[in-house]
Amino acid sequence: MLLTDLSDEHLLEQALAGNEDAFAALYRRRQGPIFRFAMHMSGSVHVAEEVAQEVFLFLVQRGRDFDPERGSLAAYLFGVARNYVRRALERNYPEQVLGSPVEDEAAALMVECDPTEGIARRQTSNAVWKAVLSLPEHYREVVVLCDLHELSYADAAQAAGCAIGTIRSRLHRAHEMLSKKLQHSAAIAPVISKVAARCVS
Amino acid sequence: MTCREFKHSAEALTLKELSRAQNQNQNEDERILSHAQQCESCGSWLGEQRLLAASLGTLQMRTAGLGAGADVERAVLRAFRQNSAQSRALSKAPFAMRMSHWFEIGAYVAVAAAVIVGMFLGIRLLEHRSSAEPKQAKVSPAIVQPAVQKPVVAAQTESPKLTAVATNKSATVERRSAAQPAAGQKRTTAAPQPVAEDDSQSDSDAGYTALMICDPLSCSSDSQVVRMELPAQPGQAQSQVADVVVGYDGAVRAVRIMN
Repeated sequence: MLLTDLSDEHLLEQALAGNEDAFAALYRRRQGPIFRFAMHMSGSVHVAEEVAQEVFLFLVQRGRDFDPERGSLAAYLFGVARNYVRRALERNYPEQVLGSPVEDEAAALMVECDPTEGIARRQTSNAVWKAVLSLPEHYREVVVLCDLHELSYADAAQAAGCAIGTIRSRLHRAHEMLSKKLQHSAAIAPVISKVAARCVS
Repeated sequence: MTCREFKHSAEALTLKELSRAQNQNQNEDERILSHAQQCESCGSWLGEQRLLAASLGTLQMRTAGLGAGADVERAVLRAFRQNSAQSRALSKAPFAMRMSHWFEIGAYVAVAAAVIVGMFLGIRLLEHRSSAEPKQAKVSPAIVQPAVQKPVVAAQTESPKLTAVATNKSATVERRSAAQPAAGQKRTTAAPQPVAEDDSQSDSDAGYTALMICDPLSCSSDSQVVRMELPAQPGQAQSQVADVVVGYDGAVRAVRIMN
């Protein structure tokens, strides 16, 4: 059986037994979401890299503290990352916050039939990036966890360390705030509706 | 479906699920969609949520492939190797070495305990010293005081004797003042006679006439003898000399006419 076929929990078990390949497989599987979570939360690539490293160093040292009965390893790692992001935000990184998201290389190389669509898409994502970063921290984290990382309410609740009901209410309020922020930029609204129509169809 | 039920059902779904609701033929989705078509406000709300999901989707797409750099991976894997090497070495190490961590903790605890005990003893010692010092301070002034007062006392007559004399004489003086309500000087000139008649008087205070009732309470302080010259009376040729016993309160206790 390939290591990539194993669940996160099994990989961690083997890693804790000293299997480096299992740990490397677990790292490669989970570092991306952790990095992106930290980047969406902080708006900084430096903070995101630092957080990703800290999370996996924590897993190396304190991996035995993880209890599979309390939730998934992914939610556990997001919870650890959340704490490190909070610490990093307390230290203030305003000068490192990016004005627009760092683009994925594959997305940048994607050839679009309509060049205006590419520009519009970029403008939309920039506006959303700014709107998400301008949200208060506890609203931002539910948006990032549930909407950008597609975690279930239960997993998001485990990561954020609160009840499912709290996640729902925060998410509802965060969506309202985001809609208002995005509606303010009138130029983006038609683009969003265009993109949304495509997504829906 | 009412608007309230619609909101309740819609909020139970994530933004992604809500935006996909049109494509699924589930019962709940159909109910949501049919209500959104009928109700204008709920329809616009659903539209807003879809726009939001789509706009968040653009950001998600743009950052989907991002991850930490290769140097982070190297650092993490190096830490993993070090950690597993340490744990392997620890498991192979003899019992005493494995327990060395506990010995270290024990040593720290012992040092901390020694510091605490030392501080406690120091405080007790300081308390003991501070309680002993005031006793010495109380005793020393009592010893010093008489030595300081001695020169003052040298020129003084002893008050208990005077008091005794005064009390012995008091009855006589009172009787005399009742019999002779004359001028003070006359009284003083006549005074030595009854005093001389009193056989109970000692030699040291012979001739003194008490001028006030001296009980131990009012005349307990020391007194001084002052020699003074009294102006001559109209019938007399020369002035008279008298010894006056004056207390430190300024009151004259007794008087003796010398000539």
